[in-house]
Amino acid sequence: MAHDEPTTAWIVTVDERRTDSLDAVAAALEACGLCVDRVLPAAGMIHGRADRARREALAAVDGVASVDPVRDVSIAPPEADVQ
Amino acid sequence: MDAAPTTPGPTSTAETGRWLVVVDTDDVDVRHREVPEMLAAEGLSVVGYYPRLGVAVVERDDDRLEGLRLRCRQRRRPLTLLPERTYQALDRPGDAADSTAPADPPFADTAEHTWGLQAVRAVASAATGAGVKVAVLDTGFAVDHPDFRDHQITAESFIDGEGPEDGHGHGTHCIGTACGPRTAGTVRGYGVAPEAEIFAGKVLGADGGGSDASILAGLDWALQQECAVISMSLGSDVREVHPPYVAAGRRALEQGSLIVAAAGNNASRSAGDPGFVGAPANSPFVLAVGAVDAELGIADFSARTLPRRGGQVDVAAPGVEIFSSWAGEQRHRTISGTSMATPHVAGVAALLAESTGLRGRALWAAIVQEAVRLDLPSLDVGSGLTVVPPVEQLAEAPAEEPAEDPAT
Repeated sequence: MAHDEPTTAWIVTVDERRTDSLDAVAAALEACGLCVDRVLPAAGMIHGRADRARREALAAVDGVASVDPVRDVSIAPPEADVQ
Repeated sequence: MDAAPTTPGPTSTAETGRWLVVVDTDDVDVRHREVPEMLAAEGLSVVGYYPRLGVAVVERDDDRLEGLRLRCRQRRRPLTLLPERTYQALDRPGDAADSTAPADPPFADTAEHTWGLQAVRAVASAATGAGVKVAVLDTGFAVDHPDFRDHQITAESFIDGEGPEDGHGHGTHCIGTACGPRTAGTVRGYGVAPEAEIFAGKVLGADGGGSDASILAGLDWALQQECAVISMSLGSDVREVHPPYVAAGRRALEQGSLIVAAAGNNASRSAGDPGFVGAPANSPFVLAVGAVDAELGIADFSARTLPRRGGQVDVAAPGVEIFSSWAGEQRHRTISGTSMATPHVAGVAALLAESTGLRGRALWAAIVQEAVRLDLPSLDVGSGLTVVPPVEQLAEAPAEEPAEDPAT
């Protein structure tokens, strides 16, 4: 049965003690329902998408420090005097 | 500045006739055991010795001081000999003035330099940022800009469907302030650290929009490239500290990278609203930058400290009517914002990183320490106006030769 593509984007911050095994943590997150978009080795983070309801389960994965929603950021338009 | 910088000569300050012996070493055993042994072996008359400082005060005896100098040279101990001077309390305003006093505001753009370069004292700096990697995470960069023909540039996009080119202008403006030319030929010079290596990470699209995902991807790239300074003239007007930026800021410092970020433009001070520092600048491990004008007054839009850990404005920099490079045919533009203040600090950080070798937390400390205090609330400007001190005042390596030969 086809699932709807999860639309909520998350930043998973990996515990400092586990940042040397990011791929293993990423695999565990995938098994828990996260579609991994990007692994950030120097920052020790993983960016991916999952349904909102999965947040607590993802946060409980071994090696995860926090799971936070991706927020949008924007600057003023080019013509603005204050940027 | 109306007076040339000078170092007070021996005749300008009263000397006591005694000498200071300075052995500037981190080696505790040398300071606590070896130095007093050497002083005794030379037969010097020691008035006082302070092993935590590695400093002794001795009676003048040219032959014995020369013996000490030779002994230290043989053992490769970093010795400096200086005549002891007398000091008085600085109870008159004139006494406090020295070569580090700021040029007087108001500043103004000249044919040669922007007011911002003058205010942060980049104009006369011997440091150029050479050998220091500076990342600017923004709307990309106009890599074909004629002012940057001689620059080493690496550009990368973290926006889906867009290349690293600057479709907005903001990124090119910020890169210009941090790493543009200090003398630009046809226009006034506007770059603080003109020989720094530029890493342009595009984390905001042509529409000025991005997300934590693109910003953190760019940050990760900058860390992998071992950039000593990461400048982020972006943010969102939210009071909450966002956990990923706390971790990212701390991890960056641990890896020797300093993140500087705009405090935000959400104030409207003339209307009674001082605003607040938003994310990511409100992370405790991200240096938050406020904006001052050419009179060194706080900018109307510059956000005030958010009353929680990490929410403070750490330092201020020029951010009103800042001339710099721009994308497209326009080539240059004058705009305002804490976005314009932030790359001034990034440039100063690159100069300090070059001339001191400091990185991470130590570089942060140097920026805050060297800032010129302003007669404004610290809530608005932190430790004050960021400046680059003269290189000769930053010598890290202890002198091996005596500063002055006592025998002459």
